Amino acid sequence: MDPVTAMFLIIAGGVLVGVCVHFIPASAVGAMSASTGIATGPSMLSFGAGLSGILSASFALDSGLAAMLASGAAGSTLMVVLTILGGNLVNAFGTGVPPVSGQTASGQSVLGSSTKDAITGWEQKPFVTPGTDGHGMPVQTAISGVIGGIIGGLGGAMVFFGVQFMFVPVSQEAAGLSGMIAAGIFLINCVLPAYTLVGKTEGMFDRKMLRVPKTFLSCLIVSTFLALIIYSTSTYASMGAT
Amino acid sequence: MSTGTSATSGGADIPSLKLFLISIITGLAAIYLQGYTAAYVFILIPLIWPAFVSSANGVRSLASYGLGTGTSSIGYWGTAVGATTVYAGMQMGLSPIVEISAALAGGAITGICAQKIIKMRIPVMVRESAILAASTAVIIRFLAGLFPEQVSLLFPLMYIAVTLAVLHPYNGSMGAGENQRRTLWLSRVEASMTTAVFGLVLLFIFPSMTGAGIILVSALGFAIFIRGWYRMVKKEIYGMSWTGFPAAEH
Repeated sequence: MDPVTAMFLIIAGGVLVGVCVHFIPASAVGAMSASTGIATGPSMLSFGAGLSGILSASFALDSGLAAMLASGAAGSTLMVVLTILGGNLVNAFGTGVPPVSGQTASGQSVLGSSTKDAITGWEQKPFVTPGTDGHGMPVQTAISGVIGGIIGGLGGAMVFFGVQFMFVPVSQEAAGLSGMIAAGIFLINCVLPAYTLVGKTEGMFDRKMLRVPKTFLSCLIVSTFLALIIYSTSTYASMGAT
Repeated sequence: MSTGTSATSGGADIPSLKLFLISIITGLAAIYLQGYTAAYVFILIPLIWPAFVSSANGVRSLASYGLGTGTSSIGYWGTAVGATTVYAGMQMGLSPIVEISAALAGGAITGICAQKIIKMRIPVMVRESAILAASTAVIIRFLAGLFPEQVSLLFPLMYIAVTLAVLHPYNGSMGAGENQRRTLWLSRVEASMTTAVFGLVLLFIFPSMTGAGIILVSALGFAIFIRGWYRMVKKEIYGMSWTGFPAAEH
C-alpha cells in the first residue's frame, strides 16, 4: 500500500463514520422512556461505539487490514448491541414499557403509513404510551443499530489503519498516536451528522435517514481536509528523516 | 438569542473576536517563551488562561443557539479539531503558528459545511467554530510543551481535561439568567484547575520544582477566580439555602 491509498482510506473511513451515526438509534429523551432510542445524544453514542471499534482494531494491528476491519466492526457492534440490550432490559423490567418505535407507530417512518415493525411484522401502535414518541429499541431499531455499529467500526478501523500506516515510518509511538488521531477524526465526523439529526434518531427507518447525502458531503469535505493534513505531515516528516 | 446583552449583570457581552485575539497573543507568547523560561515555565501559566476563556465563550456562542446536539458534543468536537491538528503537527515538528492556523482552517471548514450543506442557519457558526478549534489548539500546544519530552501517553488525558474545561462553564451555567460574565468567571476557575492538574502530572512524571510552581500559580489563580465567580453567583441569585439533611434527622 502507498501513502496516497492510505489517505483515501482515511477519507472513506471518515465518511463511513458520519453515515454510521444515522443508523445508531439515540435520543436524549430516551432517558425518560419518552422516545425510541438509546438514552444519549447520537454523536456521543456513536463516538463510544467508534472508540470501542478503534480499541478492538488495535488488537489486530499486526494481522493486516482485513483482520483489523473485522475486529473493529465486531468491537463497535458489540458495544452498540450490549447498550441496546441493557437499555431494553431497563425499559422492560425497570420502567415497565415495551420496546416500540414511535415513528412507525404514527406512520411517519420511511416505511410509509405502515405501523408494523419492518422485520418482525409486529404491530407497534397499541404499545406506545400516550404522550411519548415510543420507548426502548424494537427489533427494526436494534438491527439498524447493529448495521450502524458495523459501519462505524469499519470506518474507525480504516482511519486507524490509514493513520498508522503513514506514521509508522516517522514515529516510534505510531500506534498510540494513530489511535488518538483516529479518535479525533471519528469525533469530528460524529458531531457533524448530529446537526442534521437534531438530537434524535430511530435509525435507518427514521425519516431523517433521507438527510444522509448532506452528512455524506460534509464528512467527505472535512475528512479530505484532515487526511490531507495527515498525508502532508507524514510525507514532510519522512522527507526530513531521509 | 442569548448572545445579545447579558440577562442580569448589565452591559453588553465581550465580543468573541476580542477574546480570541487576546487568547492568541498571550497563548502564542506563552508557547514561544516556553523555550526560554526552562524551569520557570510556571510563570507563563496565567498567559494560557485567556485561551480557555475564549474557547468557553465559543461553546457558549454556538450552544446558545440550540444546536440540536448537546453542549458537550460541541466541546468535544472543538477540542478534537484542535488536538488532532496539534498532535499531527507535533509529529513533524511544525511551527505552533502553522498548527494553530491549520486548526483555525479545520474549524472554519467544518463550520462552512454545517452552515452551507447541513443548513444550520446559525450566523456565528463559521467564526465560532474556527475560534473554538484554534483556541483549543493553543491550549493543547502549550500543555504538551510543559513536558520536557513528548509523552504520548498523556495525549488522551490532555484531550479530555481540556474538553471538560471548555464545555463545562456553559453547561454548568446554562438556564434562565445565564450571562457571559458569570460563565466566563467559571471558565477561569476551570482553567486554573486544569493547569493545576497538569502541574501535578508533571510533578509525578518528572519530579522538579516546575511542577510544584505550576500547582502554586494555578492555586493562586483558583483562589482569585473562585471568589470572583462566587461573588457573581451571590449577586445574581434570589437566595441561598442549605439543601443537606433536614433538621429533623439531626
